[in-house]
Amino acid sequence: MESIRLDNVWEIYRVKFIIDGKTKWDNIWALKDISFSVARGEAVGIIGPNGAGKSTLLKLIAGMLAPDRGEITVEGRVSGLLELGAGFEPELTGHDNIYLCGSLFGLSKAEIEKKYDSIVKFASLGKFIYAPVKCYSQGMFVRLAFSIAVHIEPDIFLIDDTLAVGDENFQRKCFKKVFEIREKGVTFVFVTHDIGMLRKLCSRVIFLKDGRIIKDSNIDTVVPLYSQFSGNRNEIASFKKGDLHIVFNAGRLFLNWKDRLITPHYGGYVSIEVERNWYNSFQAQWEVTKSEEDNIEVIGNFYPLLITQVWRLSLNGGSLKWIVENRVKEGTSIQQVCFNLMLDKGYISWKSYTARGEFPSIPEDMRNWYPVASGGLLGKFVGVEAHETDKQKLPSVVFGYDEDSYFSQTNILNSDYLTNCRILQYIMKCGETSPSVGGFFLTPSVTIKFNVPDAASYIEKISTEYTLLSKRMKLLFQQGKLLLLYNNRFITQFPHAFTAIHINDRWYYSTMASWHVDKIEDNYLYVMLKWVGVSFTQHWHIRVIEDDSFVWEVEEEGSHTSAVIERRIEFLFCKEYLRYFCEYETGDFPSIFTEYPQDMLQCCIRRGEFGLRGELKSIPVVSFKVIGDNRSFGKIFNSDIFQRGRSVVIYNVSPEEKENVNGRLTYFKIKVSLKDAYNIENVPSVITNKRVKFVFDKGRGRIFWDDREITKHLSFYTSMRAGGRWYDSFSSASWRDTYNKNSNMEVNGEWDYIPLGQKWSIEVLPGAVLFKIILIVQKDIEVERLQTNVMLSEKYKKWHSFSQKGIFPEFRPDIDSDWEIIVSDNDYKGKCVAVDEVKEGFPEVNFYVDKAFSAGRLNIVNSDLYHRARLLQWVDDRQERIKVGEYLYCEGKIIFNGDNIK
Amino acid sequence: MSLHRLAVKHIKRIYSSRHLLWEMTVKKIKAQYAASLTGIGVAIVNPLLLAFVIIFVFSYIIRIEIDNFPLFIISGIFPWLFFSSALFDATMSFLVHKNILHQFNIPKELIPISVVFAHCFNFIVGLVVMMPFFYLLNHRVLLFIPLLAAVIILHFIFVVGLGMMFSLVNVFFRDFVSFLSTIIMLWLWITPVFYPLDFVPDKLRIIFRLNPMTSFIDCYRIIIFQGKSPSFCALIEVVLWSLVCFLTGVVFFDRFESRILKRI
Repeated sequence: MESIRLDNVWEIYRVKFIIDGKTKWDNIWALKDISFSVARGEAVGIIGPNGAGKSTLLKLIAGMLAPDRGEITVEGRVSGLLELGAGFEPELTGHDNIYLCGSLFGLSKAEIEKKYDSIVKFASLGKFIYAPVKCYSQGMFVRLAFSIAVHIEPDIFLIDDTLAVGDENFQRKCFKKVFEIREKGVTFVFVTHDIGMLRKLCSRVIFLKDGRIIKDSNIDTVVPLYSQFSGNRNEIASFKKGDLHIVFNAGRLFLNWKDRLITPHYGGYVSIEVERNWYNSFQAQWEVTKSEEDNIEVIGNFYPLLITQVWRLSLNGGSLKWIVENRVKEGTSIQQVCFNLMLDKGYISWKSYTARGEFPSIPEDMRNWYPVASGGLLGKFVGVEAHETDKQKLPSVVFGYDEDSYFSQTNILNSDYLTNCRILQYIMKCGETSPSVGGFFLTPSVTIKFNVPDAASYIEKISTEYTLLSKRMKLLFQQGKLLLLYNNRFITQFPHAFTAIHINDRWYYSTMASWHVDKIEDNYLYVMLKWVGVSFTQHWHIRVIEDDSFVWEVEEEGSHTSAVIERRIEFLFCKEYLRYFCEYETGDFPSIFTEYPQDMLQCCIRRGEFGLRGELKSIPVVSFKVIGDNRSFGKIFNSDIFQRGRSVVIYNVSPEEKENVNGRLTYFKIKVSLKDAYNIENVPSVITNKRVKFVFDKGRGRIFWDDREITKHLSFYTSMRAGGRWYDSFSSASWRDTYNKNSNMEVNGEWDYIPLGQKWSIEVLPGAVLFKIILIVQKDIEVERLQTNVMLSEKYKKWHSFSQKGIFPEFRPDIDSDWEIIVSDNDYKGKCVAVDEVKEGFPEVNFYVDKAFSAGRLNIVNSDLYHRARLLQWVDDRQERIKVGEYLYCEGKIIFNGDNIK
Repeated sequence: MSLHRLAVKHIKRIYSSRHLLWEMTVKKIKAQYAASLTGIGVAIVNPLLLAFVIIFVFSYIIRIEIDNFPLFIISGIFPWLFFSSALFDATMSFLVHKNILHQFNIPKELIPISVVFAHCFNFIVGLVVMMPFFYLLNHRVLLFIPLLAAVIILHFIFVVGLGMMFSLVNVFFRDFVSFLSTIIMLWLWITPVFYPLDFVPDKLRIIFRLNPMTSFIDCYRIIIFQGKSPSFCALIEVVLWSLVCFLTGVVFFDRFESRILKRI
């Protein structure tokens, strides 16, 4: 049953216009072709900008106006609040006015009398009911007026935005009463600008604008439309393609998908920082200069700044391109331009090329926007997706900027609790370049793509322009830096790998430059970098030559190259790298970071391979090699407390004498290789037999008698010398425990950059340790020395060999590379060298070698003042070339004689 | 629609809202007294004051050879004041009460009518206050009170008719009310309020004759001042003028009333 029905209603007003003293009458159509109907008991809200015709519509329904065209049917008695305090005679009391108003509404005196008490009670004016109405506050006015209007028992109740005057208590009472009377079947029409009130009272909303009904639907559909379309006509433009409807309104961009607004609040807008103050695009004055089917151009003026922004929005395929051209007056400098896109909170996950995550829920006390993902990680493109169930309503959105320039960065944020939405940002910082030449144009732009089926792989596809792929390695060029991934896991961390130049007392980083990238081939990336203020160019040639390794060549050309003091390539690796190595040294990184970076090697590495290794299976061994003769050298650092990583820096320091440079010169050429790490056993392997215990720990064997360690430092270890360098079992090899049972163990060791491996088989007997070491040669190699050593505690004072005996002397103060050899027996078979000490629980140690690689010697050695240990050793120092294969390295036993120990 | 039907329609309308009309009138009167210094005394004090002034002026300052000139004047001035002030207020009534028009769906004529009604009340009170004086002058006055009532009613209808017209005109031409004040001033001088019709030269008498208010004032004078019954002709004149004005008002109103709300 309908209680209100309008059919094609038109309402006209004749208005007098006076221009330059001349009077002109014009017809203004307040309502144009309005048709709708309201059922009995329904509550309808009407919203619209000022001048839309809402009050006229209500007067029509109330019967005070007759339609100029069309028909209107209203069933029942109408009452309501259309004007505040209408019908009140100011000099009379509230009491008198109740009777007056009641009669104006059409009640008889008797009826008013009946309802009088209830009216007074609802209005709750207390004794003021007997005071003249002229002294009432606005709130009292509205209470009394509402009370009277509601007690009329109307069939239709109209309110024209007068409830705003009442306080919260009153509004609550009103709502309660409205719900009560709705139960009785009273129809309700309500004009307001307060969306909150609308939500509480009605579910159906009519959006009126310029006399026409724009939308007549449920509240969630109409309200977003209202905020999008309310405003001056010349500030609004929109275009549509398929499911996407884009509306520009006075500096805000609203995006609708399938008639549903996906950008709440300010939608998409631009903020600029000028002279250290922020200005938003929705605060500027806008004008639409071009509005076509698939593109829009608008011009905005920021007063009082005299900055003009021109937005060009166009749809290509499924992508929206949003170009913002900033025109600046001479002398003004823009510090930053920030694109903001506010998205519905239904978007729950985000993806970028290098990271992904979920939006956390916003805590209640959060008052400001906060970042969900830090800009440095994200790269050019970010994508957001909604939950599976929402995917129909909220399409996936991929947002990215088009041109790389200074400090471009994307950010993903959560808004504050009240706004409750997600924000994607693109910030372009303009650095220190303040244009003093007028008319400087800064034109950043953003591309937004919708409904991408798989956002992650799309982002990957568009980001691979700057990616080099290898078997397990991925190399990314991003914003002036190189990022390294192995098995899709980052091994470098921010700021990854970049170059730096020291010139004119300043450092110029590749991250600060403007660059041009070209992927010349699938495995060759070329980057050209230029800095403002320096007139040379840097060229990077990055080539992947083998599996999981690349060569990075850095060239420079330009007139300033000779003024450069120092150049660097810096890599920052993640802190999962625990050990560093170079040709002659290896060590652990300290676990604590200090204020300044720590130089681990304290020397400049010019030759050979050096690099880092970790302990987890996912951390590959990364090794560097400087190629070519160009003065470069490397250093390894434990970085400071802020960066918390391991850094490898390749330097090129110019000599003080300025050289004449012409054309392009190569300053760096390095090879970086990644390799799967050998799974290093953290846990030492232990085998025991009665009183003897053998513990294999990272390449050395520690021997315990009665749980007392008799070896020291390097304990039982092997050393090999090849190519002029020493390779020890404890420092430059990685070990794998292949067999450990009862009193037998077997370990396999591999050296990193010499093609050698060793296999140790150890057996522990109640009074001895048997060992057998096999040498595995992977490539023909020339070895100079092979050794098997047992380093024992200094408590051993006496020694004896096959033919002699003696006492160990004092340790020599000068530390030599070769320790003091006490005695050396040329023939090793069947002989032994031994140390005696039965006091203090240390057994006599007899070292026998039964079989070996080749003839050698048995030595007894006194170590240096640092190690303070005794060494029993087998040495083969014949220089020879060994071919590929497996050979017996050394086989023997260590026999203990501890009979006299108590 | 014929004139007859129109009149009936409007009369019916007014009749069906008579309770509201009563309420509005009463409240208007009450409001008038609520804000005043002497309250209901205004209705009494004002006419008395006016009477005294007239008596003073026309006894001691302006001397005209007519017996009981002051009372002569009073019997004309009170109706005139009712006429002019009621018309004036009626003309402004729509503008003053525009919020009632915007809020309530009532027959629009009630507004000027209630205004005229309120003024009528004041007029009657004034007459009542002056009645003792007239009684002293002419005991027979009391016999004609019913006739006086009839004249008052007819005068009321006359003013209502004019009021309905003028109130409407003023909505469309907002300066009408200022013209009206000048018109009424002029009108006063072509009505025999301060002087009897005999004083007017023959040539100009026709203007006076055409003036509706002359008939009314004449009737009032005859009843109150002279204590006689007006002639049949005079009464017919009064009736006709009331009818004409009322019907004109009704027609006028009917034609233009729909446009009021959009203009206010």
